[in-house]
Amino acid sequence: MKKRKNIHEEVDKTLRSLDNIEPAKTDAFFYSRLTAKLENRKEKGYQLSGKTEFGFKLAVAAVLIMVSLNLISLIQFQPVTTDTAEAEATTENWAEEFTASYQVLDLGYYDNLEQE
Amino acid sequence: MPVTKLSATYKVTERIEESAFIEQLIQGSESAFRKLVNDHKDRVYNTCMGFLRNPQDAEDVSQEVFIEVFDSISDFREDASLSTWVYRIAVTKSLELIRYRKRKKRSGFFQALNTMFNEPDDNVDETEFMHPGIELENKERAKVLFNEIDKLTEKQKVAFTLQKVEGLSYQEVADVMESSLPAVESLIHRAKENLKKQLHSYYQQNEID
Repeated sequence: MKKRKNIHEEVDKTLRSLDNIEPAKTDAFFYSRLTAKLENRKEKGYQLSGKTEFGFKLAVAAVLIMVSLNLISLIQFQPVTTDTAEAEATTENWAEEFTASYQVLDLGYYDNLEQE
Repeated sequence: MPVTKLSATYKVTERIEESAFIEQLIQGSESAFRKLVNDHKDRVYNTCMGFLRNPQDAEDVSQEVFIEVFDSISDFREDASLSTWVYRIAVTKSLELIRYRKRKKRSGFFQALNTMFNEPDDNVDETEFMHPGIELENKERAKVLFNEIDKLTEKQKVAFTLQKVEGLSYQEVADVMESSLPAVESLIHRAKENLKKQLHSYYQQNEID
């Protein structure tokens, strides 16, 4: 019972331990340190922006080179395109040439054979 | 002139003065920025200290707060007072650092790798830190209380810390948290109830004489 009472008291005291808390304070040089940090950041910013500018130029140059290489390869190795009629004509010519070379398309072959 | 009308006039004048001051800040006036820092540095530092419990972190975050103010003063919409806005940034930045630290703790493997190749992290152990404004006789109890505050939900922690450590009124806490007054009252009530329970079990486990 006594222990329980002690715990209750201790909990209450602990909850009240922050009641008269004094605010923590910075020292007198806070503003100087802050302005130094701001100045330092500005300098770094300038350096960084210089680097970023160079990086941007490099990236643009790389993209331009890639695009021009693609264009050159497209123009250079463009596949030969023919229209349908031309393609059909080419196929017919090829078939005639093929049959002529093997002489298998002689339609009067059997007639000639009977007459003989 | 009735008192209410007088106080309303005073508020309007205050608002106009603050608007002029903000305008000076936007124009990059160094004296205005110095005034802003000097007026708010202790309260910002104390707020950060209440959350971070580390003087070095509190100093760094306080500086970050004023840098943020310097950078984004032109975005300030004046829907709250300047000091509330500064407080809000201080709370957000402190919570960001706490979250970052938690993530870092969770990724133990990478942390081990990091310490292997870099200098070990020299952060002060939060459990060992004591707020400088606490009376000597309360130091041990306050240490226990701070550890239990850390176990609260983020919103309860923010509301309780701002009210208890920073000494803000419920309305000021509501303004900083962009919440309603009843919501803040409920948050602080729940925080107190949870702390009571937590402290009870703490003292049961660590028997007192």
